Amino acid sequence: MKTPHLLLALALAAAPFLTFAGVTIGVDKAELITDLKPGEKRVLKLQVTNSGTDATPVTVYSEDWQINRGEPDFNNKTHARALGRRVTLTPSSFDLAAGAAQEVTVVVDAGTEAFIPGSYWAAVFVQSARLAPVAAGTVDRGAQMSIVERIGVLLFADSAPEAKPLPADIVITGIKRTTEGLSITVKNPSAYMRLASNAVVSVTPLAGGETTKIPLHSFRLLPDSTQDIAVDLPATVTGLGRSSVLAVIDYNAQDLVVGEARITF
Amino acid sequence: MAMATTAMVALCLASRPAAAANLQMGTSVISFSVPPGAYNPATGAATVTISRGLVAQVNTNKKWSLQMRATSANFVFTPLSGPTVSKSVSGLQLRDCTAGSLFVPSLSFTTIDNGSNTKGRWLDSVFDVIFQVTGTDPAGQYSVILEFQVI
Repeated sequence: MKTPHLLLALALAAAPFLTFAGVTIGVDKAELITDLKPGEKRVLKLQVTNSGTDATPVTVYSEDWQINRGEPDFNNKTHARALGRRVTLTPSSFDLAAGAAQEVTVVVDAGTEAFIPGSYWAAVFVQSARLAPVAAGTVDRGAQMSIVERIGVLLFADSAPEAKPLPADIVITGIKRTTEGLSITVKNPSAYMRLASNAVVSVTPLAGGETTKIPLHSFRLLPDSTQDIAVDLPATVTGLGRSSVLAVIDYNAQDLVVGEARITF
Repeated sequence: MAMATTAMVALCLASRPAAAANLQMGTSVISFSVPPGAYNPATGAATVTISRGLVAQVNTNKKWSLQMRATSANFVFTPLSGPTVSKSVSGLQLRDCTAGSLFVPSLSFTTIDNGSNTKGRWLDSVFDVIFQVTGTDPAGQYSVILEFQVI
C-alpha cells in the first residue's frame, strides 16, 4: 500500500497549486469629478469594500495617466494636465476585514498656480495584495507568481468649469458592426471630459417592423479624443435584415447628438 | 451614413445608478514546479501549463479593461545552490482560455481583456498560466509579482 501513497505524494509535490485569495475589492464610484480653483481644496469620498471571505491589506494612491487612442494609458504619465501630485488620500493604507468597508477621503489641492481651462486628471488606485514570501526551493526548478489586484477610479477636475447647457461640440463620426455588436465612434474635441448621461440606439428594419431600442449605460468622453463605444445587441436584432441604426447621446448640451447608419443584421 | 448634431424631440432616456467596480482574482499566489517528466531530454527545456490557473472576475456597470504588468523585468531568483542568474519574466505567459491569445508580462501594462457593463453579473476572464525553462536555467525558485488592474 505504500506505493500509491508515495505516487500521490510525488504527484502533489510536482503539481502546480493555487492559493485562493477570498478577497474581492470594490469601489462605489467609477469616476470622481470636481472642479479646480487656485487656492482652494476639494474633498471627495470613496468607499472601498471587501466582499470576500478573507481580510486584506489595502493601499490607496494616485497615479497620472495619458489618453492614448481614446483610452487611459498608464504607461505614459507625464503631461500638462496631470493632477496626481495635487491629490492626497486618507487613509492611504489600512486592513480591510471580510465584509468590511472603509471610506477614503480624496483631497484635491489646487495650490496657487494658474490653470488652463479644461479638465485635469489622475487616477486613484485601490490595491489589495498579500505578498507571500518566496517558498523555499525544494525541487529542481519552480516558479511563484504573486498577484496584486488594483481597481482604478478616474479622477477629473475642471478648471473654469463649463456652463450648462454644454456647447454642441460632440459628434458621432461612425457606427459600424462588430463581432460583438455595434461600435459607435464618438469624438470629443473639447478640453473637457464629458459624461454621456444617457444614450440609446434604435434599430428599425427598413422593410418595416418594430423598432428595437437599446439603452446604453452612461459613459465618459475623454477630452480631446475619439473613442469607440461598444454596444451589445439583443438576440431580437438577429435576422432583421437591412436596418436603420440611430444613435442618440445626451451629454447635457442643449441638443442631443445623433448619428445614423444603415446596417444589415 | 448621415450624421447630425441637432435638436431632437424629447426622448425618454432612462437614467442609471452611479457606476461602481469590483475585482476578484481567484488566487493570490500561483506556485508550480517543473516535474522531471516535463523536460525535453534533447534540449533540457520544459514547459509547464496550469490549465485555467488564473481567473479574474469583474463586476462593473461601466466600460472596463483588465490590464497586467510585471513589477520587474526579471524573475527574482533563489538558487538551490550556486550563483544567482537573470531570467526574463517573458518565461511566463498567460493564454486566454476563450480567444487563445498569448500575453507575456513586461514592465508596461498590457490589456488582457475588456468589455462593457457586466449588468450586475460577475464576468470571468480565465487564463492558462505557462512557465518555460530552458536547459541552461539553473535549479531554484523563480518568483515574480504581477499586477492586475481594472480601470
